[in-house]
Amino acid sequence: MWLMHLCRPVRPSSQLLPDYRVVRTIRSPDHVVRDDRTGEWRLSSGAYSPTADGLVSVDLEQLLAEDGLSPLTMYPALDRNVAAATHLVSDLRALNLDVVHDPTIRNWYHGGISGIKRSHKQKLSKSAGFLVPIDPVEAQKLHDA
Amino acid sequence: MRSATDGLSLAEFRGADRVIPVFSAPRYDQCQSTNVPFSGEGKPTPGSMTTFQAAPWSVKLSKNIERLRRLGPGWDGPRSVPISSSLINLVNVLIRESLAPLGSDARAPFVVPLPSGGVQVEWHTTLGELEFELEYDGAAAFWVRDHSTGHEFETEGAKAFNQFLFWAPRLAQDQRDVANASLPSRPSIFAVAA
Repeated sequence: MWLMHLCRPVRPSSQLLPDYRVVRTIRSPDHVVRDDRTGEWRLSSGAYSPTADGLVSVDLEQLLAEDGLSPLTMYPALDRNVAAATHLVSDLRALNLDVVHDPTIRNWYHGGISGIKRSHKQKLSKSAGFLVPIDPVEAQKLHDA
Repeated sequence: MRSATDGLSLAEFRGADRVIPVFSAPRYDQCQSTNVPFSGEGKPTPGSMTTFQAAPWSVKLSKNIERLRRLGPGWDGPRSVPISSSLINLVNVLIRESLAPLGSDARAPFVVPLPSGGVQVEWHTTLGELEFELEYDGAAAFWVRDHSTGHEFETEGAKAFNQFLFWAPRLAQDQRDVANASLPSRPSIFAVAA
């Protein structure tokens, strides 16, 4: 992966196509909370809180697909993962957000959602699709650990 | 735009590291006494065997807080940072102060870390939802939703702290108590917000 990081150019945002998804790895207990009304685990809006540089970490389906890889290829790379939440690039842009390619030495397919303000966080946590739905047993286990 | 001065000043905030947090002492009715009942102002008779048992929400919160302390750099992707101990101490004190009047009949909140170094306190109960965000620089934001009316309210800065202290015990009260409570007697969120 570090060789890819050295040799492959960063993809400009303008070349990230609207029909692809970004994949946010959801971890317990950091990103999930229990809703007493439904009795189910759900995404915390905190899962869409950006770092100080304004990005929320995601994997870019488009770049994975171009290399013939599944959108979940990088999902096992993180521990304590309990779900994979997704958003279409077009849906994010409709909220005046942008998607950027932000490769790291460990993950060339890494990207970020930029432009997130507090009002976006709840919208994103409620509108997320799931490639891997929240595993309630694992989420509870990690909360209790 | 929020700033540190809206909530706590940075000096106060950093000072939290040097201050021993003062938690509300458990009331005697939160304690389990053996052999001798409490008397007078609730002080145990000298020589009696007394065991303190922390409320379940307190135990759960302590666990949650300890997890926050263990987060290292990069815990949520590149450039995500650990939560400072001063912020963790502050949020711990705030939650405990707000829930102290409920005794043991409270539900612990979820305290989730934010990649910027902040934390967010959340309750999602049958009564409503509350989110209180505290950033690494002391900036605060508050949001609450009343399920019975569908009304929502949000604020930032110093008001966020006040609203949190007001609403946290209301949403954290055990649902068994709420079942017997008269919901219309609860103040409306917007009445308070106004």
